[in-house]
Amino acid sequence: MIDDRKLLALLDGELDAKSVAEVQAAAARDPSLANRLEHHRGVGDRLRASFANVLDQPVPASLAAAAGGGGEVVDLAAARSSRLAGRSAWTGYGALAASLAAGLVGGYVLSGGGPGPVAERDGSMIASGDLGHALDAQLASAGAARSTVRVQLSFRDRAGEVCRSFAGVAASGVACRQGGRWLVKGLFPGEGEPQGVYRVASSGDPRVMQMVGAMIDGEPFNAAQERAARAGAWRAQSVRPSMQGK
Amino acid sequence: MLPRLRRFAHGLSGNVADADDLTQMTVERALRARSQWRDDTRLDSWLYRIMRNIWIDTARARGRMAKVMLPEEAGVEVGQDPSPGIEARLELAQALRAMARLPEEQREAVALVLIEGVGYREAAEILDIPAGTLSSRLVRGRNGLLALIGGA
Repeated sequence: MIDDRKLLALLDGELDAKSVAEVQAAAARDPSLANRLEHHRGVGDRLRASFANVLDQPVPASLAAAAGGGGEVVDLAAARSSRLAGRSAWTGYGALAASLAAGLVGGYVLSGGGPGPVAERDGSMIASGDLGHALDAQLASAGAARSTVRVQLSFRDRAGEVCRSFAGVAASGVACRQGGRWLVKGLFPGEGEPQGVYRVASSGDPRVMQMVGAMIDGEPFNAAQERAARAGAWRAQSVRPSMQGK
Repeated sequence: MLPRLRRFAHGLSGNVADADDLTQMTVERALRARSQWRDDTRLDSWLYRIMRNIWIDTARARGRMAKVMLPEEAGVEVGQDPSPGIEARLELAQALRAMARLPEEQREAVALVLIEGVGYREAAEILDIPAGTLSSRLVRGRNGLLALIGGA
């Protein structure tokens, strides 16, 4: 006799192989059991499909702002230094807020199991999905296309790495190229504007600009420098360029 | 994570009106209590747990642990919103109504396992109940749902 617990555990993937076989065999012999199994499967599918609609709704701006910490800087460098000071970066404000906000860049959530814009690898926040693509390909000087993310400035930081600031509807921030990936250095809640319509902000988020100001070595790239950097796969420069060298 | 938290808030509360408040409170509490998040705890489980505790407090304060008013509320919500995706909202509203009819303890089990896809062990830990209790609440909750929205 197969009880409901076992039947439902099968649907939830909580049975071992032996029990799975047992329930399946029983269902094959007993049409009413098979029927019950199908009905329960249907209820689960229906419930999941209905609630999946929540994932597709834009996250209210107030909520995105709360997740971003109400303007508190989400600075992974700070998280790192707190780790060095003996605390885990993952208990740091920045990493937690970044995890909460992950999936929000662009205002609309990139859901359905698709890759979010920020992924965690080895304790670092890595740009992925649309954000990763935008950082790889978009030229700030070319203006924003129909991307959910707009790259604003490209520049070199003091370590010679290429960094880029970006703005999305619900989040903006700065990422730097390290080891062939875009490390997200800071993430801030955005305007929370629905439908991916960009407000043309000439100045950008002041907090992002502040961060850029603190990181930048020299001036932001002009169009030619940006294209050259892209052609060079955004690689770091360990030695400062000396165009007017000897 | 935020979208999934919102979804759990919908499942837990069984209504749209409470879901965003609940999510916001959870986020705020999580950020305040961030030092309590340990590396060996899954972030989502920790957040689910916080949300569930807030919901219990809220629901208890309102004195409606057992009984959730709803049908009209969800209906109004649907009627008022002419934005795209009316069908999706309608669908969600029906699912919420069904969830709202379940007793609290069955609803939270169903929301975690069936909607959020959390495993039994993890769910039992989040809800602070033995695995057997979780399992029987799931059975009762799902039989309730079967009667409410099943058969289609």
